[in-house]
Amino acid sequence: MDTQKEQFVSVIEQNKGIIYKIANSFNTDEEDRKDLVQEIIFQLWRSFPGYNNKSKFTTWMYRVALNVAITWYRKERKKTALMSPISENVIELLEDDVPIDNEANLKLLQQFINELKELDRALMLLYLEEKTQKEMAEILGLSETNIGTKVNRIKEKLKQRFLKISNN
Amino acid sequence: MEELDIKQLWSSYEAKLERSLALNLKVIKELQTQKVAHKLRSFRRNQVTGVILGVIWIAFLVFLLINTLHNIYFVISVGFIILFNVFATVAYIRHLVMLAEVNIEDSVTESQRKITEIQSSFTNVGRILVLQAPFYCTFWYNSDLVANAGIGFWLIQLVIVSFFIFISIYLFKKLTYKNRHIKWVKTALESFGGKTLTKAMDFLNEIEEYKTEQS
Repeated sequence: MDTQKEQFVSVIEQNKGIIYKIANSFNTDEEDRKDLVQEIIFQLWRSFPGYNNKSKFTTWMYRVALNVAITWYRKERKKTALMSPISENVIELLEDDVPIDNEANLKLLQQFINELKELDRALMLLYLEEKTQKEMAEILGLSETNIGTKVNRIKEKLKQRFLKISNN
Repeated sequence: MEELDIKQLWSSYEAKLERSLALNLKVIKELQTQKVAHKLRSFRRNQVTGVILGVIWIAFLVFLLINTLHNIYFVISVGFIILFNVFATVAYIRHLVMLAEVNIEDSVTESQRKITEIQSSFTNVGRILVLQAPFYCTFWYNSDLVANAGIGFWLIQLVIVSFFIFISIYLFKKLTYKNRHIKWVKTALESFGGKTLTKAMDFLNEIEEYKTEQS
């Protein structure tokens, strides 16, 4: 059991960015995001013993995390929260002095993601994470052809959004 | 902004997160020891409570029925009430089975479809239970009353029972997802928890469209 706990901490450490980005895309409010991160990690831990090596660990993780995030997003947040939420953050965002080039565009991109419908939002995240169409299909339960069509449609929307901003 | 620029932007965000995200091991340990009660289980708990209360209520009604077999009016009315409550209890048991089948390790569309189906079914149970209302107006009739009550009494009863039959069938037929464009239906559905149904059905449609859309 202890080995399993350590293994879990290690894989969460390696993939904490995934959890944070998913939570951030489904919840922009800082307090709610903290609860969603807790919820995702809690559900990952509960499902961890059932993970078999049939799919890549990250594919499995995306499935669980996206399912939790979408379910959370669709319910009243307070109702799905842990009954006695832990006040501290599971994943903390520390100060980082190195700025990102083009911070305004990043904000715009995040805003665009947050405006998408749940399934499109999940798809957009997977696309940005450079997942293959096969992996995306496996995570979302869609055909690869379907994924290709949808990715192109969202990319076009995103392009139009940036074009509109630059024209203004 | 081109595709490559967007990908580069995202990877610089990823790099920043890599530098600045820190795991709080103490909290992870608390989550691992499951010291926290979880509200997702509250739905399951509510369904179990519903099943227990349903069984107790049905047992009580059956007990009354067995002891009042001589009164045909009571038998028919309570018999129907029992049937409605058996339906609701079975539906709650079905929800528990469906809930056990939800696996968050499944693909997103598959597990979201299952979760959404439970939500829509749960809200529908209440709508069907409305239909038992008229039987609560007739269970107290008996042979003496039928033989001796005057025309005035029966006229009043006719109005009351007809009203409840009409209103329960009307509500059953109207309070559906497809009628949500009618303002009062929308308001009523939302007041009685149907907002979940509306949202659930919208999302179910969205999932189906999402799965079938090819171009």
